Amino acid sequence: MEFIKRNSRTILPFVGLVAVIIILLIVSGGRIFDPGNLNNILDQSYTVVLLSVGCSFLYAHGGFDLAVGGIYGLSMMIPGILILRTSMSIWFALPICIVVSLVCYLLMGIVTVKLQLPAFITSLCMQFICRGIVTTISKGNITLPADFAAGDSWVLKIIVLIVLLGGAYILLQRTAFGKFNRAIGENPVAARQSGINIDKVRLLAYAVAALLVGVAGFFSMCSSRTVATLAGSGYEMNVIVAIVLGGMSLNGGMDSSVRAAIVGTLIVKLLENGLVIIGVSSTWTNFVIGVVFLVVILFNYKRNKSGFLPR
Amino acid sequence: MSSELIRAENIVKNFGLTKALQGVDFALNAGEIRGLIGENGSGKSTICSIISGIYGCDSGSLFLKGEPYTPTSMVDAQQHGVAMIMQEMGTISNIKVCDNIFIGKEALFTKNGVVNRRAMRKAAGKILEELGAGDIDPWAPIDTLNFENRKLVEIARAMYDDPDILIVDETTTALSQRGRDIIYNLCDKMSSQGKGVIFISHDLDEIMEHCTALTVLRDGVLIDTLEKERMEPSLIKSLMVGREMVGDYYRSDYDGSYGEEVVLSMKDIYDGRELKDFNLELHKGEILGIGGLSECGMHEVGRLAFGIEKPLQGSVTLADGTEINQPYVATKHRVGYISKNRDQESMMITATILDNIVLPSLKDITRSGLLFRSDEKKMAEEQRKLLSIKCNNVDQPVKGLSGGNKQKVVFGRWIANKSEILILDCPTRGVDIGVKQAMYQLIYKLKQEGKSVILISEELAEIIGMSDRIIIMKDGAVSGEFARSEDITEHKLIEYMI
Repeated sequence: MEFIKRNSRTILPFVGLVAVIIILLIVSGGRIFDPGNLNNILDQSYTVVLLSVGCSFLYAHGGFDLAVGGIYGLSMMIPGILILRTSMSIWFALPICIVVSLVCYLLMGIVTVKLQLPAFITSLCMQFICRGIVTTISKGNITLPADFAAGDSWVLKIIVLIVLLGGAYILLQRTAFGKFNRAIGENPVAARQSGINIDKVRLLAYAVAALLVGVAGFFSMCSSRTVATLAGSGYEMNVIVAIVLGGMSLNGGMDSSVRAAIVGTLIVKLLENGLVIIGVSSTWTNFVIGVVFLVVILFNYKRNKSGFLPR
Repeated sequence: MSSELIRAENIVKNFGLTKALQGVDFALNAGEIRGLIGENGSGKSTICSIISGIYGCDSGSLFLKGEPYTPTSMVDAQQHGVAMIMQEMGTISNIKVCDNIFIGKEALFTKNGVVNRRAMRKAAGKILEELGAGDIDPWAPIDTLNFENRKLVEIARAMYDDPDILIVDETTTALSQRGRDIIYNLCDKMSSQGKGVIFISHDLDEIMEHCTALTVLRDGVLIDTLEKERMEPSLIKSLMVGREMVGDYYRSDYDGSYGEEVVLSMKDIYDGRELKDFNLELHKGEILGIGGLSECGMHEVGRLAFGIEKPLQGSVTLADGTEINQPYVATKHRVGYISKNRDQESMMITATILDNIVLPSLKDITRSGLLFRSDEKKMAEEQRKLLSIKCNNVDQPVKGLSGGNKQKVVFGRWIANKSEILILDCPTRGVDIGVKQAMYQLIYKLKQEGKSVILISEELAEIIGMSDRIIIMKDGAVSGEFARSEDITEHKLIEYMI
């Protein structure tokens, strides 16, 4: 019992995930796990898991990322247009995705870290900038060559996913860099006085996020073979909801984890998909997610003791 | 019984598994200034918090002037005439001094829904004047005041209600002589008016000089109450720790020698605020004490030496010529620093003991790029044993520890980091004598191992007791330098401070 109490932040999200699965299974009569729909869920979750895990490196050190959707969109649009115009191999799209994402994130990181601006503001600006570039250069949605189907293989995607998530876990949880990053979220002043080069660590965290966002962009191009001007819009909110539902504090700190981002994304995506499958109008999905989000925050967020619910 | 202001009977209070108070009976009489002393975690703050309505108690009862009394909040307690001045900051930022004094009482100056701010300002000025702090402008934004003046504003706010009982919780530690005198005068005045004061402090001399009686608490139990005649340092100390104090408190030798090699030097430092043309050399195996008034620039010396702040002119260099301009440069060359504001700057308060101890040394224990929990645990356990940190296990958050144990954790992280140079800014602030003694012995042991220590402190006694060499600062410059000797007295040093 003591163990459960102490680790409630870790255990609750898993309980939530299992509860969501069971409820949806019962209500839908098993339909949500039809092979066809399972493919849908995995497809939708794939991108957001990568984005959430990437962003969790920023949230861990007390940062904020409202730009992820915009950067993801831009990191698909630029290689998309280049490939359409030059007809080079689709595999060149992968490094281009990563480079575009890296440039955006490092630019944002340098402005945030060196000019000491709140990440909330700089990332909001970056989002507008990216979205602006996307709409200007594309003049509408673009359709990619059929070659991109080559990258739409589940075997490849799963291997990449395992490598990236495993790598992210080790990096955040089991290396000095990861612990430094989380320590900054806990208390930046104390982190600096512990001898951490906090600027460098924060910039590295931006680079890690960039890598994951870039890779997510490439595989989205492969699976959908189109790039919409609005691709990725709203994903920044998906990421925030996922991270909170996964049991991580948006203020970051030592408790930050890759696990939270993964579990949280699965909960959000299962709910979104499951609600449609069981016949809830898609216009209501956001409403339901909003309510679930609020309930989770009530139970799980750092509250002072004057709150009416027990800690 | 008419003279009894407050009586607490059989008070029990638990915080989770921690037994903070185990059936305490306590009574305060009219005209009394009652000192309350005990080691960290002995329950002094808890009993006062219960009397002033911050917490309820688990069992037991309170009587105010013979009537049953169950304060539901601090405001409720204030309306019953019980006011408390907290250890930490209790003013509200971003508003003016007079707004702070009359917060929640604006109705007194309100006419037709409009607050008469001029009347409020005048009334605030009058209270501050009475307190002896007439130099504080009631119209000034509170954030322009220093810690001491903000504390005085807080006291003014408490005194406006004309309380029967005033509780002062370790407030004087952070104040200068002027601030302390204001509080002492206030206590004497309340005492002569037949009111009562409860005075919590770690400073024995202060308590013996100003209190009429003294209550000692230990591990949540009231050990004894001493009248003025029975107050005697050795008796009080043994009551506090529950055994005779053995061994030396400070170091006992008057050797005062240290190595030739200069391990850290500060040259012609100008920081644009306090320090002008400041020079300092720290030698191998030296304990260098720096003393002065709070605003003399000595705390800045520590921050500059560790690279937290950069000088506008001049430089801080190590023996090998490395210039320290960032804390990570300092720690890489085995320099450690303990801030005066421990909880805010030297530790991650919600993280575990283990995480706090290993943080500066993570690169040392990284093996093939990875951290292993067994290595981290080993490092943390070593420090727990070495410093006898009182905790259930090292995976416990530090916020549950007492002040002294937190300070041990902070010491532990630099010992684990094998620091060759330690910069300690008020390392024994708010720490009880048992832990203090352990710290002094530890600092001395580090010196004997050839490590160098800069000891910045507002307590002259500890500088005199520990240092090989003492620097006294005044207005950002060195005003006196003394080698270790038996003849140095606090009196002599104070002359150079003012």
